[in-house]
Amino acid sequence: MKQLTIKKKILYIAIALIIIAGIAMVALKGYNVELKYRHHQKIEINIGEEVKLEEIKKIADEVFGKNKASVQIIEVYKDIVQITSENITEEQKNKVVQKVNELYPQEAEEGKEAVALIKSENVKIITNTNARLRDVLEPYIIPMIIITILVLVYLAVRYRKLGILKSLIGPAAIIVVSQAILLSVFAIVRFPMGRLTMPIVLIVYIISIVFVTEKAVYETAMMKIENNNNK
Amino acid sequence: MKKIKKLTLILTIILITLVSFAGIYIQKQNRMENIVKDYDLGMNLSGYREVRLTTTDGQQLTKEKVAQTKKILKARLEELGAKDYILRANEGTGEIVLEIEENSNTDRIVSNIYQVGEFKIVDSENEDTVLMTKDDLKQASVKYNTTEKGTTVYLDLEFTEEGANKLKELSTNEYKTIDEAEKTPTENQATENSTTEEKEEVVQPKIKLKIDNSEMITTSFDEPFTLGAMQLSLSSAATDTETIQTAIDKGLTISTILNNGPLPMEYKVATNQYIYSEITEQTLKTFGIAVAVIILIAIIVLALKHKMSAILAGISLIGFIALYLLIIRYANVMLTLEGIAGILLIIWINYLLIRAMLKKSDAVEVYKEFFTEMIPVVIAIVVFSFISWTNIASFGMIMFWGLLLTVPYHLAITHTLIEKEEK
Repeated sequence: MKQLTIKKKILYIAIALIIIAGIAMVALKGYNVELKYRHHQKIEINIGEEVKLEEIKKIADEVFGKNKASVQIIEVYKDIVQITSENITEEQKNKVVQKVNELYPQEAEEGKEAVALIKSENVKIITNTNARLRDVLEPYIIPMIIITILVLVYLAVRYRKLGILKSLIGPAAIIVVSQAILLSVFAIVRFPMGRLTMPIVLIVYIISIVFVTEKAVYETAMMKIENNNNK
Repeated sequence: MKKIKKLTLILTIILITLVSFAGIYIQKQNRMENIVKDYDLGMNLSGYREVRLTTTDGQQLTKEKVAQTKKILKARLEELGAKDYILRANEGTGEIVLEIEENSNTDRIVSNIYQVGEFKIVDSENEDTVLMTKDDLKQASVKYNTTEKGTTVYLDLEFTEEGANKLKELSTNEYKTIDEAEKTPTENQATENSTTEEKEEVVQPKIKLKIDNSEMITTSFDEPFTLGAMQLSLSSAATDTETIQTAIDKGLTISTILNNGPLPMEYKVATNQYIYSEITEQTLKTFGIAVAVIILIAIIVLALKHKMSAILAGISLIGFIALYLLIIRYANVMLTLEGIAGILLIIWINYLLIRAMLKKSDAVEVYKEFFTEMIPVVIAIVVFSFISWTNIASFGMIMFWGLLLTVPYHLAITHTLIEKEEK
């Protein structure tokens, strides 16, 4: 029993430390937001034939640094490519255009010099302002609150024999703390908050719901055994 | 006999797995085509429409106007049924960028969302004379009336008390329909210079109801207008669904624009293009392989303890996943990143169930415990499935189909395989 208590103490301290570290990181640096939702710049290059996506990605990695830019194809004919990065200078834009021209060499007409496929002056740097992360997360908040309330009410009623601490307060704490730990870990490891955030939050959320239910089932079974032994 | 049954089950699983992951190819017009339905991918996995709106020239730009524009656009998007979008507003330039999922509604939303939506009633002869504005309008809605001839769709404009009084006054006084007799007087009129009969025609004053530059109706009033609401016909009586639906859509669009107030600034579309997601098929395949490796490791861990039973249970789990993915495709459930999270959770839940089946011999007890533990998950799934936001609904529906399939599948397949092995 003493060992279990020490283990639990260590666990609680570890959880507290993670959450405090997470809060500190958010207060100091905020969350690391995915490029798509941050202020960013992009260039669109009309290639005129099907885009060699992997090759363009290599060019983007070369010019902007590995994983510092995203490459997307535009339009149904897949002949326009968009390169997005946090900041794009004129020099970087020109370098990209030069490399794309090398990738799609043009045949020279008789007696004339080959004309480059893309002209740098035709490629504009477009700036996109940030999208508020709050707007992205907002649709999920109310449904999750409703579900949490319904689940806690269900557990409190179904497992009322365990007492309010084990059937209501305990599960509520586990559900909330699991999300707090997750968000703290996101802050500490600088996980890019964006499209993957809510899928991961939902996974942890459902796992915590299953866990608290299993715990309640287990504790009810243990209580029954104890009562039978006492009899 | 038992071995033949077991073999048949395993062969069935292999067949389902091949169909689900490889497909069924038939020759169509000199090429091989996969006839198994493909996934319906959401915005994050397939692509989205990006619409860039810029302000027209000569407008005063303020942070407050941009913020209000964003607020109104967001309200319009929600009323027009947009279920997955990202809206950005640049407070410095006033530029608005909308990323919205591509579906049958997208064109209608995109072409209407940036309309200013200024409602006014003016004098038909002199449009500078504004008689009523948006402030006099309480609500706009779409109604329809079905008769023998067909269904007519109306735009119903409900006015505020003040607006209704204004309209009553206008209909009673200046814009009342003049009698035919009054319009063309027939008495001889002697003028200073002439004794010729002259007929003077009196011009009928009319009001004109406008939304932006579109003239909705021009009319005078035969009787005092006391109803406080006006109905504008959007279509003639129609019997075909397409015409009726088009009129309803038009009405819903107009009412949405009117109900949320006019935009403080005028916008034009700078670009409107479809952008493919950077999450490619290759990325998804790589992710799928990683998940398959983890499942394989999990089955090996089970097999260390339960030997052949675990291997058979593992084969059954793979069959379940294959069948589940087929059902997702044919149930027209949209697959999003949240949906993929749902699939992973269902695989995890099934793994737990299989582990419980291997541990305990009493199948009834296993399923009883399983149902008990899944009730809160069912609550979550039901709530998520009813949310209109695409990603959340996708998560809910995918988990719904997963849970629905779990028990019958394992009762029919896994239980039979394991039970026979133990016997």
